[in-house]
Amino acid sequence: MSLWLLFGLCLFYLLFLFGIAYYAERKSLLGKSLINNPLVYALSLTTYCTAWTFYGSVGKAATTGIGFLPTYLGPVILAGFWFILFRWVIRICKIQRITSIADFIASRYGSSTPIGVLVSIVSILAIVPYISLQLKAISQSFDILYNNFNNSEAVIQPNTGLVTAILMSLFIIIFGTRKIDASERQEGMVFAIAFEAMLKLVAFLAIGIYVTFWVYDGFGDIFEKANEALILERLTSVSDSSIGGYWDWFMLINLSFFAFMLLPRQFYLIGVQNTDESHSSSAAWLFSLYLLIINVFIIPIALGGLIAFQGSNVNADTFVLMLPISNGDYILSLVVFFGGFAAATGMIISSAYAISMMLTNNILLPITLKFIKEDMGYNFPRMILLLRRVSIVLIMILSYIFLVTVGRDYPLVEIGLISFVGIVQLAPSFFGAILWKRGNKKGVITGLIIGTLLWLFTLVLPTMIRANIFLDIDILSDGVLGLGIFRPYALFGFMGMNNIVHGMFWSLLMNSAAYFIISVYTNPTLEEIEKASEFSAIGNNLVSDRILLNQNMNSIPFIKIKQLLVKFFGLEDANKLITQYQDDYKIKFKPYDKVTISFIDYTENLLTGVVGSATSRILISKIVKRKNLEEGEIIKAVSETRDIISHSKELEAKSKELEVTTAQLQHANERLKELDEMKDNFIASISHELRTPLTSIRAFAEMLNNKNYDLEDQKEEFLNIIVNESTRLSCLINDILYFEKLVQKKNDLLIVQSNLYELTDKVVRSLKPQSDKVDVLITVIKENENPSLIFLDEDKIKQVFINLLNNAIKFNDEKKSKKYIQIDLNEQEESFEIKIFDNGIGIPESELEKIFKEFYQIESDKENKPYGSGLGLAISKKIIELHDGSIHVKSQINEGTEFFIHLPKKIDNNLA
Amino acid sequence: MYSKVLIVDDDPNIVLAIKTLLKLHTYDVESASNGLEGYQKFLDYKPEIVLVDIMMPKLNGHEMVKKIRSKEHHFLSKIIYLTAKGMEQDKREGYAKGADDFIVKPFSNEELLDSLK
Repeated sequence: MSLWLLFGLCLFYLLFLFGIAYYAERKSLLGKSLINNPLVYALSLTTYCTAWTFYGSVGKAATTGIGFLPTYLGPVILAGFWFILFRWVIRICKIQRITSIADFIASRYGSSTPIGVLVSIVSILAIVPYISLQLKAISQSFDILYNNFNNSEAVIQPNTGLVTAILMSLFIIIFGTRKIDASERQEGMVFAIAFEAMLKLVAFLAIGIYVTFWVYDGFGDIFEKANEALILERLTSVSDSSIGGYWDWFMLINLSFFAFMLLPRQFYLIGVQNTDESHSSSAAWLFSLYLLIINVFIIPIALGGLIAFQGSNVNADTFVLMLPISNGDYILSLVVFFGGFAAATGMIISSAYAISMMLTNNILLPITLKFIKEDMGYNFPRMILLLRRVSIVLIMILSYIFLVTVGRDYPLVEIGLISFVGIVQLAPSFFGAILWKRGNKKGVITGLIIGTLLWLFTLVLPTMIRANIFLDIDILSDGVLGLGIFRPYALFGFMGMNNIVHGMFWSLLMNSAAYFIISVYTNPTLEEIEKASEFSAIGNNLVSDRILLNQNMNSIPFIKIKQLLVKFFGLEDANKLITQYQDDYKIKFKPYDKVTISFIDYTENLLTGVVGSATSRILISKIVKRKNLEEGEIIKAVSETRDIISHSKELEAKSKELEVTTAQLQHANERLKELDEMKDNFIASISHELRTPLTSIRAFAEMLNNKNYDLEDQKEEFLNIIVNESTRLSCLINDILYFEKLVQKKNDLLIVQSNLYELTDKVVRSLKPQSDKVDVLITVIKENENPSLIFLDEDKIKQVFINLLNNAIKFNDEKKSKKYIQIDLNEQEESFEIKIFDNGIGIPESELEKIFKEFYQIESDKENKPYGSGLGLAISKKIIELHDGSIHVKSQINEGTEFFIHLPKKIDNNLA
Repeated sequence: MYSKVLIVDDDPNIVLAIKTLLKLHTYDVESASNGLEGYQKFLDYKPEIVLVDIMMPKLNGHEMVKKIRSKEHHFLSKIIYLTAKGMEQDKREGYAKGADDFIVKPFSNEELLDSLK
C-alpha cells in the first residue's frame, strides 16, 4: 500500500466526518434532531475512551494484568448515580446557560472571574498534553501501519500529526462556531462524535473477535496457551508492584470516577449538549454496556499479543495493530487503525472545543473587553466568534508544539492519568458547588491553587525532568533544595504509592482541605449564597428563593440593556428575546423605563450562554453598578438570618391569612351596611307609597264627614276616589309582602313541569280585554309547535308575563297607527329564550338601569301617573332569578322596548 | 289672612282634595303636577302660600323651593312642605332650602288649614 494511498484514506476519513457532521447539521435545520436520543447521548459520552484507552488498555493489560480496569470501573460506578447527578447538572446547565465546566464553577461562586480563569488554566494545562497524546497516537499508528505494510520506513514522512491538527481545527471551527449562543446544541459535532464512538466499538470488537476466535480457539484456548507460557500468573494478580495495591486501586477508581464527569469534554457533552435530561437514565446502562463489550476482549488480545510476540520487541500498546499485520490481515489492521483514529479525533474535537470555549470566555474575552471602549461600533457577535476560532487554533497549536517538543522524547502513556489528576483538582469545588451550600469563592480559589501547584510539583515536574526539559534530575532523588521531604514522588516522605496515586493523594487532599477550611472560616458573598441556593434548588426541583436585598443597583433605562442585547444577538434576535421576556412577565418596557432586576438577571443569563458567566457579569456590571457586597459583617448577618427569614416567612403567611380574613370581614361589614341602607331606603319608599293614597283618602273622607261642607255634587266622585285609592293601597301592601317573601326566599317555588307556550297563550288571552281597550295587538311567535317541558312555578312565571305585558300595554305610543306587542318564544338545548318587544314609548337610556329597582316609576308626561306599585319589574326580575334565569332590557325612546328572558329548563334544586 | 295658594303635587287625587278643601274655605287656588310646572305657575301667579310635595318628577320639591328662594323678593311667600316620607333628613334639607313649615302626609284637614293661617 502506498504511503499516499494510506494518507489519502486518512484524509478521506476526515472528509467523511465533515460530511456526517454536515448531514446532521442539515437535518437539525430541517427540524429533525439526530442527537436527540439516549443512544447518541451515550455514544457521545464514550469519548471518554480515547486512543489512549483504545491502544493503551491492551498495553496496560499486557504489562499489569487487570490494572487497566480502574479507568473503566470509575465511570461504571458513577453510572449508577447518573440518574440523580447528571439530571442535576444538566438542569443547572440549562437554566443557568452554562457553556463549560469553568463556567459552571465560576457561576456557582458568584460569577467569579478569578475562578473562571483558574479553572480554564488548570483545564488547559491538563488537557493540552492529552490532546498531544492523541495526535501522537495517530501519527505513530500511521507509521506502524505504513512501515509494516512496506517493511521499510518511509523516506518522506507525511506529518500526519500536523495535518490532523489542522483538519481538526477546521472541523471544530466549522461545526463548533456557527452559533453565537454556545449553550446551544452543536448537532453536527455531537453526531460526528457519536459516529466515531460507533466506529471505535466496531473496530475493537473486530480485533477482539479476530484474536479470540480466529487466531485462537476461543477464550479458553487463549488462557490455556497463556498459562502454558507462564504469562497468566503474573498478570491476574491485584498486588502487582507497579499498580495493584488495594489502596492504589481504590484511588484510581476514584480518579476515573471524578475525571469522567470533570474532564472538560465530558462535562460539555454530559451537561451542555444534553438534549433531554431523561436520556441520562437509559444512557447510563448503554454506556456501561459499551464499556463492558470493549473490556471483554482486552485481556484476550493482550494475552494473544504476549503469546504471539514472545521474545520479540513489540510494544504492547501496538498489539491491536500488530496482531493482524503479523498474520497478514492488512484490511483488519486498517479497520483497527481507523478505530484508533476515530477514538483520537473524537477526543480531539470535543476536548479542543471545550477548552477553547473556556479560553475564549474566561481569558481572551475579558482581556479584549478591557481594551474595548464602549460604543466603538464593534460587531460583537463576529468578534466573539473570531475569538473562539482563535482559541481553537491556539489550543491546537499548543498541542502540536507539545507533541514536537516534549512528546517526541517522552513516552506519553502516563500523560492520560496525569491529565486526569490535573482535572480532578476541580472535584472539590465542583461537587461542593452542588452539595455544599457553605462552600465559597475564597475556599475554591485557595484549594484550586494549592491543588494545582501540588499536581504540577508531584506529577508534571517529574515528567518534565524525565523528558529532559529540566536538567536538574536531582530534585527527584534529593528533593527541592536538597530537602528530602520535598521530593516530588515522595512528598513529606510518603513512599510506596504509585506515582499517580501519590500525586493525586496529596494534591486532592490539600485542595479539599483548603477548600473546606477556608470556606468554613470565611463568609460567602451574598451573591454566592444566592447562587448556592439556586443550584441546590434546581436539584431539588424547587424554585429558589432569591434574596434580592443586595441588588441595590442603579436604575438603568431599558434602552441600555437592549443595546447590549442587540450587540450580541443582532437586532432581530434581541427583539425576540425581549418579547419573550415581556410575554413571560407581562411587562412592556418603554425605552427609558427603568428595568426590573429580573430583567437584568435574564439578560445576564442570555449573555452567559454566549460569553460565559464571568464575562457576562463584567458586561452587565459595565452598565449596572451593583453594590459592593464584600462587607463581611452584613454578609454574615444575612447568612445567619436565612433561618430567621424562613421563620418569618411562616409568620408572613399567617399574617397574610389574617389580612385576608380581615378584608373578608370588612367586606361583609360593608355589605351589611349597604343592606341596612337599602332596607332604610326600602322602608322610606314603602312609607311614601303608603302615605300618598292615604292622604287623599283621609282628606276626602274628612271633607265628606264634615256637615259644614256642601259636597253633594262631588260626593260620588270623591267616594270613588276613596274606593280606588283603598284598592291601590291593598294591592300595594300585597305586592310589598310578596316581594319581601321573594327576597327572603321564604316563598318556595312550586315547581311543576309545564308547557311554556301554553302558559304564554293563557296569559295573553287573559290580558286581551286590557290590550283591546287601547288597541294594542299582541302576537306570539313560536319557534316550534311542540316545545319540551320546562320546570317552573307556573303562577310566578305567569306573573312575570303579566307584569311585562301590562307595562307594554300601559306605555303604548298613541302616535303610532298600529300598536303591537310581540312575544318570541325560542327553544334552546337547555333553556328557553323569550323576547317580548313592543313599539311603545320606550324608556330613556338614563333610566334603563333603574327600572328593575323597587319603587322605581318612570316619569311620565301623561297627566295621570301610571298606576302601579313600582314593584312589578323588581318582582319579575326576582322571580326569573329564582328560576336561575336572567332578564335584560333594551329600549329606544319613541321606538319601543325589548325584554329578553333566559329561562333554563331545569332549576338547581338548592336554589329553588 | 292669605288668599292665593299654589299646590304642587304629582298625585292628582291629593291635588283635587286640597283644592276642594281650600276653595271651601274661600282660598284662591292654583295647582301644578311637578316642580317645573310649579315654578312656572309661581312666577305667573305669585301665590302667597306654596304647598309643595318633595318627591315629584322633573323638578323635585327641594329643587323647586331652592329656585324660588334664589330671588330675594320671593321670600315673601310662605312655603309649606307636604312630605310623605316624614324623615328628619328631609326636614333639615327643607328648612335649609327655605321652607317655612312641614306637614306630614297623611294630614288632617284641620292641620292643613291651621298651617295656612
